Amino acid sequence: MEDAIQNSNVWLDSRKLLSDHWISSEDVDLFKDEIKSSKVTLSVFSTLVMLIVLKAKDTNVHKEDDWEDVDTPSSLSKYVDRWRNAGPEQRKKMFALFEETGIFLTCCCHRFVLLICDIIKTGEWSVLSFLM
Amino acid sequence: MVSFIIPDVEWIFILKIRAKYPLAIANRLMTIYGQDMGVAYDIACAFNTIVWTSSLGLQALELNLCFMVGSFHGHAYNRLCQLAWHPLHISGTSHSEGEGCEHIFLSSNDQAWTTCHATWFNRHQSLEEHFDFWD
Repeated sequence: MEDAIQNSNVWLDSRKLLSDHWISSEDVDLFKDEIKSSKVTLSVFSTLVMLIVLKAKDTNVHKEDDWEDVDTPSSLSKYVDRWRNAGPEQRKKMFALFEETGIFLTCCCHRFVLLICDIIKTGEWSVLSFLM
Repeated sequence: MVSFIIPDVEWIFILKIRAKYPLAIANRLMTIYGQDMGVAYDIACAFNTIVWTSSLGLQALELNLCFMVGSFHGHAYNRLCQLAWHPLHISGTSHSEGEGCEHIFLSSNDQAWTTCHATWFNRHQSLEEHFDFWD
């Protein structure tokens, strides 16, 4: 059934949207190969950024509380493992049939919608659902 | 003790594939809003590194772009991460929790019933009508 749907023709539509909310997929793809630095460089760099941010902040937040540091190592992958989405797994597979699998949206602090871009399918829905 | 805040390399790799959407949005936001902008994002603790190392890095530094993790998503992270990125510890965020998108998606999810089988234009038009009404 999946093949039957995926091989179907796309309905061509020349109409364009008037709103300036949308960022076109061409504009998004400009940043496709943006990150060229190696994985190790990125992880070291993000550590430095966090240390700088912590240093720049008021250090009283560390002194006033009575919390203790826990020695268990935790990294971003731990957060990913711990994350549970509300929707069931089967429903995510169903979404793989569609080319546009969702929208990436930005709003201001008053909940006004500022920018939207389409998320075009690359078949890695589980990653995406965490990002959303 | 530095090791426990180094993000896992695998996760960074996955993030790199996906980073184009938020990067495109950050680029547009910086063009429109300019100086002293605060951006809350679910995975800002990892994403800020992506921005600083990308071609937007210098511009972000000039414009004093500030990242934070929304308070709801902050619960999934450890305390050290929260100290750095939680809106509670960032001055100027006032009472905003940084989770506006969750409120918006709560209402826009109902659109999926009608938009999933629509054509490109009709789907976008429907979403646009919805968000115009929401605004």
